[in-house]
Amino acid sequence: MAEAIFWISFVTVFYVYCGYPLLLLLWRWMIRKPVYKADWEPFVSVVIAAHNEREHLDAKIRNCLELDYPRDKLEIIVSLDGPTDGTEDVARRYEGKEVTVIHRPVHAGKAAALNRALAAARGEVIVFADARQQINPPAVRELVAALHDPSVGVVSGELILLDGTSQGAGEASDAVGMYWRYEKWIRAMESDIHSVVGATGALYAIRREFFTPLPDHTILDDVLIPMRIVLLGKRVVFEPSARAYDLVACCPEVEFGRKVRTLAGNYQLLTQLPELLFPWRNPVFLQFVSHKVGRLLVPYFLAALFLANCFLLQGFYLVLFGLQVAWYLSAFAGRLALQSRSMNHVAKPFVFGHR
Amino acid sequence: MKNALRIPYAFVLMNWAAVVSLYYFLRRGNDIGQDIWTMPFHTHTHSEPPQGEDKPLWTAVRQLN
Repeated sequence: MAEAIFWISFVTVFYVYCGYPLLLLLWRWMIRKPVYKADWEPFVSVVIAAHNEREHLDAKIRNCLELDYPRDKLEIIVSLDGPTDGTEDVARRYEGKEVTVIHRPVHAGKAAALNRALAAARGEVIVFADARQQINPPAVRELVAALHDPSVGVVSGELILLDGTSQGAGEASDAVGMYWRYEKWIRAMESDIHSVVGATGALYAIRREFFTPLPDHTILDDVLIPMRIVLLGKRVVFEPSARAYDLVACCPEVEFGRKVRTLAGNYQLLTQLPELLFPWRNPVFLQFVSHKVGRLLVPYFLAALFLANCFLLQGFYLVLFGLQVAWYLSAFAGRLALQSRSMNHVAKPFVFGHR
Repeated sequence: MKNALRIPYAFVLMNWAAVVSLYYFLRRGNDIGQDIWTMPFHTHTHSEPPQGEDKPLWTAVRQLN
């Protein structure tokens, strides 16, 4: 019995982190769906939902006004969701021909703010962007080019995490960058095969016709909107030349909070779109289960793996048990190392996937 | 060496986050989005620099470009 639990758990964990990427690699080698890009210039609405973003909004609006896209074909909609820190004053400074400010004094959540923005948007293409990240000037043009392909309904930009603490800033390296690059590698392969399972919340674009209002209190609009569009038979593709930049989280606790929110959003998604779990309805069923559901299940299989191994302490299993114990002790030591580092006020960036 | 230890720590913490997220979801059901911002561990992503100093993200993007 213990042996069966051990191997089922081992295979599941191995599949989620290694087997699935290897399967994607093979799948992509066999079937690679191109995206037929074209240079066209539809009217675009850039939508920014903001709650309390006084510190970031000014730079974000200026960043959007510097985008390489015809001014007469671009509008920026800032949808304010009950801000209490003066965010409205910042937004109002830019209100005018290109920037529309929608202010709702009562905090009702990001989904409600996006619904209001979309009701006012005139664009044929909607670009969603968060208030915090900076985007590169050609980003909108690149997203729009991929949307020209009629099989594509959503184009996700690339989020680049910068290590702002290093001398010369660059893409985050070490454990941080490694994990994030692994995550982006998986997304790129999923995109080549059919669709990425969700978009990058910091920057993604959709064709307006595919948008339907979001349920109140939706946590992951950047997964729900793309997955709805996938269920309509369209693709969600990854466009690495449309870039959003952010800094990696300063400390594990911050990243942990972000992560809990994202993963709770995945549970919510399953109740909002249960058909994602029906292989006959979801064209990216295998990708969704392997990438999203798998990550939710892994901790329980890890626990089962360890517990089952406790009853199998001979020969080969003893070695595996030793490796598991060493792994968890290393994790504990990693925590201590980070604590001592933050006590010395030399916080290093820290991040892990699910963005 | 310390950097190497961050990998298992990140892995364990990431999986612990999945357990905690299930706890919150089961407690609040589909309304979880309503109070997700007030969860005790939710903090701002980056601490802001003192007034007058440049924001770290803009500095980093500028250096990159």
